[in-house]
Amino acid sequence: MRAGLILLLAAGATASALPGRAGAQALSGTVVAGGSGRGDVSVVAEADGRPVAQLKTEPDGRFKVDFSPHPKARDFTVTFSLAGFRKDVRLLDRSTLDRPLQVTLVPTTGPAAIPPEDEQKLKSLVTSVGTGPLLFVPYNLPAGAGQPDAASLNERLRVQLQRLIVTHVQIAATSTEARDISLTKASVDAGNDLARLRAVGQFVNALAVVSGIGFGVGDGVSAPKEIELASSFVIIPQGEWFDPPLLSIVDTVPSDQVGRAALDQKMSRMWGRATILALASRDLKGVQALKGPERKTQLQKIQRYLIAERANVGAADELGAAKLKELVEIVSRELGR
Amino acid sequence: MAEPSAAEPILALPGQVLDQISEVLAKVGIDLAPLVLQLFLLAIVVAMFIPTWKKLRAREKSDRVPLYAAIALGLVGIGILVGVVENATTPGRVVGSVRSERLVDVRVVLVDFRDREISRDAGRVDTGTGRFALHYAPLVDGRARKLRIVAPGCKPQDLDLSRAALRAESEITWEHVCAPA
Repeated sequence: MRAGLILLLAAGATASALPGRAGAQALSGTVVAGGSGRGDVSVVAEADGRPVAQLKTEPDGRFKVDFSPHPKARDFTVTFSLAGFRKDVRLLDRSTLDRPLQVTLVPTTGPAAIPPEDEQKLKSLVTSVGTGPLLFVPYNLPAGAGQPDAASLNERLRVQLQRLIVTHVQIAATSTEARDISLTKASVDAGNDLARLRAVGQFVNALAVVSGIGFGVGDGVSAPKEIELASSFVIIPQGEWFDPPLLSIVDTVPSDQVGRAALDQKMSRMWGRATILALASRDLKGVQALKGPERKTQLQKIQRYLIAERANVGAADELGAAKLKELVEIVSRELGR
Repeated sequence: MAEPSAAEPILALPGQVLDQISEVLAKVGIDLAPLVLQLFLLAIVVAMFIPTWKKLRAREKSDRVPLYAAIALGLVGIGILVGVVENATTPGRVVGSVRSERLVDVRVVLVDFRDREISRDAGRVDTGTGRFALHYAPLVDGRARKLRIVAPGCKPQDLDLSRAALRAESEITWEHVCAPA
């Protein structure tokens, strides 16, 4: 089997954590909508339920809210809204005010929005935040692909990818955590549009979304013997300090068999590692709601599986190594707070 | 949530009586905030206590009516003060988290014994974590009785808030399943 691997991209810009600053009085950050910083987003801030500010973001999406008139307030609620996007509400405490906040608004209209019929299909998959599955949106395959059809090829892809991911995750995380991972099928048309995939993932609170597109390799007349699969792995949970990478792989497989052996070994490593990054991103977000020993235990758990995964990174995976290093540093910093 | 202590029913009694008085007054069109009513009742008690005290000092030893009246008024006054102190020392913050399919649509509010909204927040929950923090003024509005969760197209759902839970600032966790309205 011929396997070409292209690691396309793309570390999202990483917001570095700032040193803790006791008694922070202001919150700053960026609102991203439609893939870039967005101006004119309405920002409404409350401190302990009292209105503090009502403002609009700058053209590049930046905003700053001054909470200094409320030095004794404990809870800070900031609501971001923009026509055509879902409202985003953040509840912060004083200890998190000093960290730059990045908010990504999910579209409700436009090409990245989820059509109502797809919303209906996705509703049964919606989970509580922090418990979401890996989502498999069927690949957009060329006519004639798969035996007997494209649907069965997609199902074989889903099963094989799930096995690859779970097997890889078990090496770093505990068997229990790996067992909880399932690649759940979402029969929606995301058109391999990354913004749409992200919107679908956010809608169901998924851990990540896996999907792709296939191109037939052949004479263009008879059914393709091989398919070039361009796969994407979109991590959904995002934190204030960590922007997860968006990963893509191109692989060529025989059109009538997508057995485990047919999937490139690098795909196994990439998707497995991406799942570890997604777990860490999700768990780090969940840690923000914890305090005391429970928080420490959870951080130690994250640290354990990140370090275990880092030990398996080869020299070829620079992005994976960089992201794991960054996450380990964030966790260490959080443990030292 | 914390279990109520044995002293709670006794401490709660003045508050309950006050609630009933407020409810009766509200029905006849006199709608007063609990603190206003408490101060109003306290003023009446003080106003009645002064002549009673004068009568008590001037009474014949065999006349015990002014004594009983002074004791009764004193107890009522203490009850009102206990109610004021009780409300003044109740934390004005209720925190927790909601698990829901559609956090973006969910709103949480605190309601008083008259089923009126008393929290001053917009009531939105964190759309990422489901966490919320609600704030109100127990001294003025009285103790919050229920946490209400509302969502478009769903029946409002209530969770009773015990005095002990409010005092302990217990974290509330709520699994919201929409029952169509």
